[in-house]
Amino acid sequence: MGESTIEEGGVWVISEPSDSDKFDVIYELNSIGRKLADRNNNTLTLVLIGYALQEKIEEIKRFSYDYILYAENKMFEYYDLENYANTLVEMIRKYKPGVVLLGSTLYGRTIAPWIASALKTGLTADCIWLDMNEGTLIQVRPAFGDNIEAEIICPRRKPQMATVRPHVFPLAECRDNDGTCKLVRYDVTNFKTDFLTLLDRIKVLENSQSLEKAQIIFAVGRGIKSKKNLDMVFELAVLYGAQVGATRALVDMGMIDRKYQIGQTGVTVKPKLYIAFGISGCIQHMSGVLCNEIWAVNNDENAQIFKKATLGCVADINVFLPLLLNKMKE
Amino acid sequence: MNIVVCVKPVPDREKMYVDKEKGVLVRNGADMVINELDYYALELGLRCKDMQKDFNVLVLSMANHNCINLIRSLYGYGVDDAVLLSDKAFQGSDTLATSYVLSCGIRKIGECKIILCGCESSDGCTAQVGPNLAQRLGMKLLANVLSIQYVDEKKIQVQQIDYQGIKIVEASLPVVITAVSSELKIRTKKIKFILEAQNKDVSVWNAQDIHADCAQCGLSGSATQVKSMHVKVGIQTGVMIDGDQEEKVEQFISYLKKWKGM
Repeated sequence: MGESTIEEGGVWVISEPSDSDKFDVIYELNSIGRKLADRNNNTLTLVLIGYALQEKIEEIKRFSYDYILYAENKMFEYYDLENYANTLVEMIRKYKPGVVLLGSTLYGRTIAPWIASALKTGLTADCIWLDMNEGTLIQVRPAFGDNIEAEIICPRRKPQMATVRPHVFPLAECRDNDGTCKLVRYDVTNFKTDFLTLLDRIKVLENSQSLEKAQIIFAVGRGIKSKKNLDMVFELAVLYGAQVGATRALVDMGMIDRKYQIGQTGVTVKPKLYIAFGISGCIQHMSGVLCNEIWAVNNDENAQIFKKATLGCVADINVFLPLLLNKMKE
Repeated sequence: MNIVVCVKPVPDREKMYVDKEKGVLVRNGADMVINELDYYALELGLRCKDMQKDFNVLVLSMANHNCINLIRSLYGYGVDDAVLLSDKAFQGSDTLATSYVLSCGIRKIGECKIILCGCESSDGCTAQVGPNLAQRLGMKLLANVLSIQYVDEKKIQVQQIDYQGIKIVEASLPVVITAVSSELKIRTKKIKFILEAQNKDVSVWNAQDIHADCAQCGLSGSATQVKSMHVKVGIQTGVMIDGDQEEKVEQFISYLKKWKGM
């Protein structure tokens, strides 16, 4: 490839690792990244780090990135945060992008602050809207609950970094590979080898894609109280064609598997209808719910969820669920 | 050897609300509490001490001076020392500046092999301070930790979540650990410790004490600026279903049917 020509001041999207189940976030970042780059009359670059990347590169070429900057090395086969982050920092120092975006995922939320710290620049977490005004990235994120939005800028330092909440921006459309996307290889020579030692893999997080794509979600929280009630919600969900989701509190209590977890540390969902059973409605959960039709059943009439709900019902879950299930079966 | 648990006083969310008519956030009277996830960090720190009795557990907080009693109350859990970093120069710090101030405090404490903090705060929700501290201090980052399996003077084994799943990993010290909520039971305060705490002070350090460069603290040290805040418009109040249990269920079902066009 030779020495590349990625223009300074462009927009970069840093990819999820190729084995991440959130990899598709880069196609959402493609659509918003394209808009920002065009506003700035500059280019859009996708940055990929890993091993055996050719298949992913062929896939990415079909989207509207101007460059794919990639570092491919056997050393990256093992995910080590510092090796990934150090390489990204080196790349940013060399090519000097104006804007760097990552998905607000488990990976992005961990590595982005490390990179921002190394570069002594600003990072806005969990953005739900982005725009560009004469080179300044306008970053909008929720604050103090989803009722307030804060507009944040990073005026004096570069690059301007943001993590972007998944599913807020549409997936970019893919096209035939027209050869306009240029490949730039980045060689890494400097690896740290004091890895963490992996002693055991307890479990691979199960794929939550069916939940992320669900049209109707019956979500359960701590207020569900018993396993029996939880089973009833699962049964109701089958009857109504819904998927079941849960709050972190319920997952942490060991009542339900982590793959059902919605919210800041779980998945972001975007259903047409979201029904909350026994959910208080705290921000950490509700920030993962992008939905205009929220219904809530809760025994506490002061629960925060009722402030967001379009339809609310104050009821004792222990009585409400069996009645509902019986009548639904009729 | 010192274990430092970073804790953040945050406004009690239950007592804050948005006045929709005026379009403002009402924080008046909202008491400050310790960020919930920081209790998990504290519990992890104390469990290290359970395993290795000669470890010192310190809590470290950057906050307004009026949070001193809140910080002091943490002695009740059995921590050995408490430090409050408080200075006008720290006000308005974003995550970059906050991590800088905390790192100065940690350097002043010295001999810190394990730094713990909650993965994120309930008010800022950025999850940036932990990774930022690890980078600044040149320590390994163990993010999203559920539990600690083993620790000694040289190494630590933890259960952590990353994008690949839940793993048990071992790292040589020093490390920065961010705690997520888990099945971990947070211990209750002990009378013995509460009584002892009456004779214990919280060290209060200002910018000069920790040799902080004021240009890197507070607003001047912050890279990001909040340009504006606005209450989202068009918040609607929903319909509430009334009646006795039976009627409520009936109505709920009719809404379900209507929604699906049944």
